[in-house]
Amino acid sequence: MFPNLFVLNSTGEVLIEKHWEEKVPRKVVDLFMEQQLKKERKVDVSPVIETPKLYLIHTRRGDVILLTTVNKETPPLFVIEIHNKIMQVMYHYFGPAINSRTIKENFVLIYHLLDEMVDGGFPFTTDINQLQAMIQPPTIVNKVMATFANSDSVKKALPEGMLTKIPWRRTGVKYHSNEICFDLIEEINCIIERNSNVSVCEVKGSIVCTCRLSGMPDITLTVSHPSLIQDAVLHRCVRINRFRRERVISFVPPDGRFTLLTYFLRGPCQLPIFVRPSINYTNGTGNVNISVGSKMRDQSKTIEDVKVIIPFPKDMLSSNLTTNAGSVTTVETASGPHREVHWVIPRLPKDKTPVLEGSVLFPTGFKPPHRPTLSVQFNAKSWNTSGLQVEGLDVIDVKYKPFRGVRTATRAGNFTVRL
Amino acid sequence: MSSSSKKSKRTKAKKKEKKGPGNDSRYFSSTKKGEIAELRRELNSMNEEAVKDAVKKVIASMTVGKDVSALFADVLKRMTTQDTELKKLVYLYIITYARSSPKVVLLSVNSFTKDAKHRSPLIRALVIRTIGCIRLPDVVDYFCPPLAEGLKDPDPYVRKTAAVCVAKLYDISPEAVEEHGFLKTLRSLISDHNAMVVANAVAALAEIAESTSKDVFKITPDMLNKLLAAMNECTEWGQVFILDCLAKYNPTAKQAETVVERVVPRLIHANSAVSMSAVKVIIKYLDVVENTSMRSYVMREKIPNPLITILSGDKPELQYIALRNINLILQKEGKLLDKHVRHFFCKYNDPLYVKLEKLEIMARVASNDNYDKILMELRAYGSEVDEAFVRRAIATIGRIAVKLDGAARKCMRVLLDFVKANPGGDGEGKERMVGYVAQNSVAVMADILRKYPNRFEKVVDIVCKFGVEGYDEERPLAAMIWILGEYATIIEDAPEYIQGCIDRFDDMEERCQLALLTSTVKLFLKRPDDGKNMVQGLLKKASGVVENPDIRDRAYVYWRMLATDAKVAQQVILSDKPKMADDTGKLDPSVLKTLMSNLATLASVYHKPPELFIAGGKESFEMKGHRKSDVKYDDSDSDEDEDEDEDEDEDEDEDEEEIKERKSKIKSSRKPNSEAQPAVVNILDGIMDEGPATNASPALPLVLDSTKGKGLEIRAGFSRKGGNIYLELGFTNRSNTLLDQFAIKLNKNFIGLVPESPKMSVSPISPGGTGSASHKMLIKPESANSQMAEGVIQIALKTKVGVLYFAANLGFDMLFSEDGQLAQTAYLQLWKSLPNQEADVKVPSLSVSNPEAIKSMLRSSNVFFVAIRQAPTGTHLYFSLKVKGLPVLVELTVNGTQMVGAAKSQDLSLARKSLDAIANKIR
Repeated sequence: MFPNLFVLNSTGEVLIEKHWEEKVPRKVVDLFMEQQLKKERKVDVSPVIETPKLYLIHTRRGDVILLTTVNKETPPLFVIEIHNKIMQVMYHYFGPAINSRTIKENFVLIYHLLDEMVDGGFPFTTDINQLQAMIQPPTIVNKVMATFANSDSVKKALPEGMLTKIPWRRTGVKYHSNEICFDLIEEINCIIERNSNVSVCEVKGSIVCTCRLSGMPDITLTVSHPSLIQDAVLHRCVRINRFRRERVISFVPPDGRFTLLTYFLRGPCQLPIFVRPSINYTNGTGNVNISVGSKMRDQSKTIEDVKVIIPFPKDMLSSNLTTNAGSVTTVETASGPHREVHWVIPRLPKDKTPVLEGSVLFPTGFKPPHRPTLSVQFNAKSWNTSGLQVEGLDVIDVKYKPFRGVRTATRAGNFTVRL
Repeated sequence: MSSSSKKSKRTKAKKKEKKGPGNDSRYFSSTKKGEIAELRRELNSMNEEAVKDAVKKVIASMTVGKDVSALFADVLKRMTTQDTELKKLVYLYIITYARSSPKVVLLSVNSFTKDAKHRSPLIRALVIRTIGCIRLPDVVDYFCPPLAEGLKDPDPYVRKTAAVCVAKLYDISPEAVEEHGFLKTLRSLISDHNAMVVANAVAALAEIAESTSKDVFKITPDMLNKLLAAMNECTEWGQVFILDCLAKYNPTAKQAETVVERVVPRLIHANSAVSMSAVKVIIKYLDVVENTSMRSYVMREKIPNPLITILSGDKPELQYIALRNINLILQKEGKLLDKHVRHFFCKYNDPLYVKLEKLEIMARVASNDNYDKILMELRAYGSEVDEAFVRRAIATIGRIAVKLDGAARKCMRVLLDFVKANPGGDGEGKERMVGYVAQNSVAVMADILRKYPNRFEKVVDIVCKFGVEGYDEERPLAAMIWILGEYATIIEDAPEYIQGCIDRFDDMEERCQLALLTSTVKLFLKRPDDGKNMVQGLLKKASGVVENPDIRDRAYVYWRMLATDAKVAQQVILSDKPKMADDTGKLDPSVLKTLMSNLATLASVYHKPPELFIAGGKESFEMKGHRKSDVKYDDSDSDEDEDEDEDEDEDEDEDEEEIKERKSKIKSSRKPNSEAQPAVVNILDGIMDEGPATNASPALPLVLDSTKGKGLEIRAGFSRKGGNIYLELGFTNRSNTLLDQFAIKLNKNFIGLVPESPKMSVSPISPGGTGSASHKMLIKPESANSQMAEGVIQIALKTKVGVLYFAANLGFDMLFSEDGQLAQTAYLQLWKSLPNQEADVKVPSLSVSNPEAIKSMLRSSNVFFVAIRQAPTGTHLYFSLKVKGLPVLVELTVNGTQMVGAAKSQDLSLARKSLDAIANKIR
């Protein structure tokens, strides 16, 4: 099923290796590195590589590569999803900035985790809450405890509830103040054409729940437009049959933060922001004029963390760009034929429309070989494009009255503007 | 890190303060000298904490690839600890090094047994888990009792671990698993009240079923319900196991409906492995569902969503696999995703492999309703940065034009825009070249012009305005030259352009040169006055000066044609060309059918039938089939030898006497076999056809059943005759076509086995009839691929029913050469000179224990008898053989029905493999 795992950094150094079946020599890593060398950009290495004897399946997240070799028919999605789970757990344990050093620093812990996550080549406990109950994450408190009291990072007994009907929640959870909070987050993935038409638009929405409740609460959540979440991807705690029948989200939550459900809106949607770019080339000079602004009707809502990334060909000599809002920097990209101009506006001003103006110099006679695609990031708070809202929230089976909260935000996912 | 910790190594207490115990990186640094000794000392410390640190260091060294196997005994001692973490660490170490010190593992069996009764289920499970990882056939017997306990453990955590362990054990020793009735216990676990146990039992059974031909896992209707119930409760991984298992079941219409209803909610799952497996189950089951409205509803409304959802995610790896599968599904359900075409538009930061797959799908979903949108998008790609992507996008436009008549005009317009936007520069050298976008567009335009002749004359005119000087890529230049010849009457300046090309003739690639020859002749035929001089000059040059035989050939052909009869030349050269169609990536219907039932697998990613993924998977099955058939091969083998010896004098070392003696021995050691007679007839024929193989065919292992073989059932194996290896094939024709004309091709394999000729002589096989073939093989070490699985030969057979793929097993004994006989003295000397390491094997019960029988049996596969010695331990038989040019010395000690074997050679692995092959033969 899942025969082995090599954790590498992008230079091919083996950080962790684990074999659940016949041992595969480390040499296979060279096969993989050969493939990587062939590609101009490392990210272009195909996730499944065929070699005469083995198939190399890998997942790349930043500088960390998880590589598994299989010699017989194995569903590749299965392998990659296990990789994803392992990465997710590592992010959770060691923070999102995981790299070779963090992995080396925590290799014993990682071995313990891998042993629980993949049991003899069969994935088993991949739920973060459960893992945490068995193996403690390396927090500062734990480190101190380990120094003075020699306590173990590995628990001596199985977590309770592990094999019950509700394995995702441990029993005996206790909080001083009970609170449950829902984040309604929507991410817009879209491509805006030169003529301002939106050619591709898709919204990925998710309801993320942060649950700090004692006991075994049973929660029922109703939303304003249940049809929006008809085909949602549900967390396993959601009672699927009731959801299908009544469009009501009823569940016993895991402890901590988790994604309750993810839904997709396909088709045109209302965008909170506009971007009007124009770059004209004459005699080796590019005249740039880009404006961005809010498109929201409710002017009280703010858009923050706006960032526009404009790629220029490497031949760019110099740039003279000014703006009436935010700051501009030119960034050298590590690979690819680009040089990028980053325009950052911490908060969109309400009294004016931010404009980026100026010129970019190229060698004389230069003609741009291709048109750039701008990518845009933003965060619109207290607003979402679908209009999905929480209508009702009941918590039963508990004696206390929890604090309840709902937040809404819309962010740019893959938001690009073609020029 | 290194300098500070080098110091700290000596003073442990200090180090702890400095770096903090939460940081494991300190274990990676160590002084080189006396490292092992130091670790050993620490491992034997009285302080558990120090020991724990030491074990961590050992594991760290292990991780960076250092050999710390010398510490095995010391680490093992620590197994008795009461500390959970230390215990886990020790077990972790054992798993890695058990194989290099099997004897020490035996010493630890007691501790294992003790821990298997530990009060904590965590430890009990740990023991079981470790047992599954040790993979030593010798110690399996000791581990069976604790495993049997584990399968009945009151704690489900232990039971689910034990279920997996059975599959692991089966991999090493199927006999032991069957002996202890573990399979039965495993099947009973499917009725366990804990869903996780059920899921793991299912996964374990599925894995076992994959590696054996036995029917270990037959789903009953009763089991079906249990599986469906468990699916609702188990983890996402358990759901994958259960769904994959459901996908193997062939349901009735009623069952199919129930299952589809129950599986539909699994389609949308955060784990794409679950949703893809659900898609696979539903697509398969819908084929049997009789309710057509349900079928079309589920297909149209439910299937697209999960597929699109994976594409919407942010994991390019998953998207790639999904796209490959979508490509397959679309070949079956053509219109499934027509409405969702926008989801296949490439994102700016998609990796190249995702972008290319998306283009593939765009070409596939393009229809008269949506091609507008797709073309708009493709046009936008023309200004992207990534060259490989842009090239493919342009090619995709061409594919759409060829596929959709109505879209051709629009496609042409987009391509023309590309050409106009990238004209050649005015400067010198590289600057003058036409942009690659324009060049590739012209190449694609030529394809469209071929498909729709005489429709786009205006376009031709415009394109030619830019001239041909700026083209430096092979395909576009050839396309341009083709256009000049084909449309010579429309393009006014055609003669000048062609003359320009002729001037560059010497610098062109072959493809362009060939095109230029044709175009020049076309020009001459269409505009004789303009082309006369050119054609003469060029043909003269091409047939006289040029060295490339293909160019010369074509020049000569044109020359003769023009010289004899210009009319005929005109008819031939200016005739209508066959229409082209786009079938890129289109699969054979039967292949598609196989692949559809293998959605979500590697086969579906490579669009290759799963038979080609045999490496490893089916090995154990084939090994078993092997033993039986080997004996049979010998029949034909030895009989054939007679004629082979006459034909080819390869057996130089053997004199006639010995051969005869050997033959009589073989015959006497066997029951008289009348079936072997036809082989003699065959000798008279002198051709290798039906004779021996017909007899061999029932014994040959089945490699392809008639459903996979498109109606042709194939049995295959290898034999060795007169120093050559032959592929023995047995056919049963269950199709309704008369099969003649077979051609064979072998995939690159581990020894470089290639057929002597691709054509195979098989007498025609009528529907329902049987046939056979024996095809001579050669070994060409230069075409060997050492990466391929040992013993497996992948074969492609071209027949009237299509190309069939299968694999046959090449036993190692097939490689024993005929010149392996050693004299006793030479044997002794060699035995002494070889290093002490030897391969050994134990066979508890022999089928033949008579030394004479063993001798003759082995003689038939080129294992040569050297000497015999009687001793209190049993009868010692000494044999020699030669494989890959190296002599291998074998000693077999027979005592009653027990046999112990040992073998030596310069290459120990050769000795081991040879010995295994011998043991298999006489087991």
